[in-house]
Amino acid sequence: METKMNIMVFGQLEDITGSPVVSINRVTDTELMLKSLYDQYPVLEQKQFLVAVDRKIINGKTEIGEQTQVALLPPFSGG
Amino acid sequence: MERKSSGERYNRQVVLKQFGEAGQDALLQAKVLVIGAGGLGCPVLQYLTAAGTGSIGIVDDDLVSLSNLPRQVLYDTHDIGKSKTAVAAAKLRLMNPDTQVVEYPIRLDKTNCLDIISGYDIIVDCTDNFASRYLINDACVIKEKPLVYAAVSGFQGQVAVFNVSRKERQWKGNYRDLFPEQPAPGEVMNCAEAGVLGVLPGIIGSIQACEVIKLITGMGGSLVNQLLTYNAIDNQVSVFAYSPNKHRGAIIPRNENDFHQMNYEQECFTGGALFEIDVKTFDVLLLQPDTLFIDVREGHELPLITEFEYARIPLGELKQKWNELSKGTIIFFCQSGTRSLQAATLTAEHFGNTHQCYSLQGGIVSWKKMHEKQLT
Repeated sequence: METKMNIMVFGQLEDITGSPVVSINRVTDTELMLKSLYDQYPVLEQKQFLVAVDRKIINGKTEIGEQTQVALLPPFSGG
Repeated sequence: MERKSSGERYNRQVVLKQFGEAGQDALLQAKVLVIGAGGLGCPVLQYLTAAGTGSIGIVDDDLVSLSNLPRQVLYDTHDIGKSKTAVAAAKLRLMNPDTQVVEYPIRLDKTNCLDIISGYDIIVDCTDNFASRYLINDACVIKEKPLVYAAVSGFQGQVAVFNVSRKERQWKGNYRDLFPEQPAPGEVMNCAEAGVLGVLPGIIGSIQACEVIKLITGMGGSLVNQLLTYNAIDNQVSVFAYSPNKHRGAIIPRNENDFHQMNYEQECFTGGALFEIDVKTFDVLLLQPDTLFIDVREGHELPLITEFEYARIPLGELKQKWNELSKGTIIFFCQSGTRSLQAATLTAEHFGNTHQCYSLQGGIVSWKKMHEKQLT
């Protein structure tokens, strides 16, 4: 099993993570993933964003498998 | 009289099987309200007019300015200083006399929004700020109007269709299912602060116009209960499905009375003006000892300031760095003055009377402009 997992980061969240793809130690659900992300990037905790798991935006704790694609989507205001 | 839909003008789209004369007739009878005639609004207005939409309303209270031109392609250099709705309407009327263009050179607010959208079949959100986006979303929920939403930032865009169900009696998603609460002022940078590639709103606005045409003509699948994202850097297009937000009932105003109680314009801090200083005052304070200047922009943002000494604390890190703010007078600045005003407010709240906090109105953009003028 892979020891790392990648998370796609959209919009201005990239200013916080410094990269459109973030690598963290593999976790089994989205709550653990967020905890790990907040430890790594404390500013992220103050930001509003959606979590998408395999192209579905989730509302609560969701399992993450080995092939699962995870993305973080912030709101945009520009027009 | 010959039907317009069978004439030469619309021939290339009428020959499409899925579109046909029926699609053109539907389009010629449709009434679409485009809110915001900026980066997204320009392509939306151009394609909807060219395609033969029966009636188009344009809402925008802004004037054309030089920095609009790389992305707001309805305007040219001679239009600077003129009303966007007037210039756009004049050009669209020349483009297609079949389209009736109605101008609303005003800013939408709680007092006029419900009335204006009532007269249209589809509403298109091409605005550039969260206050307007939440106002329009809620108004469209109350009036049950299909809303075609788009927003851009940097190299990326989002598009969605709200208040339309996939099947009859199925739920209808809206913006608050995605982002229930309006972000705090300064939390998300706007285009003036974050920047945007000129062609990007052209691409996203064109997707938006296409969604409007599909809704009117009933062609294809719409972005119902889905959010499309586009990234110009790597050409990635993604479509995300979403489900109803658990708290939607508690957040969205249920009727017109509730709507009038909402506070969309939270961007104006109560007492915000107390914290704001203009460029002249800023320059006077630069000569004062014991004054701390703080740039609250992100580390990579330009222009870099070399003219005076200052510290850099991005707004998001401010709350972790209270111990670095030792001096009595603190002047915050950012790109356009939005984030620095939030920083000044937060700091004043944290320290109370021990720190005098100010924000440079108009940001470093205004400061640079003023000093460039003085040099020439």
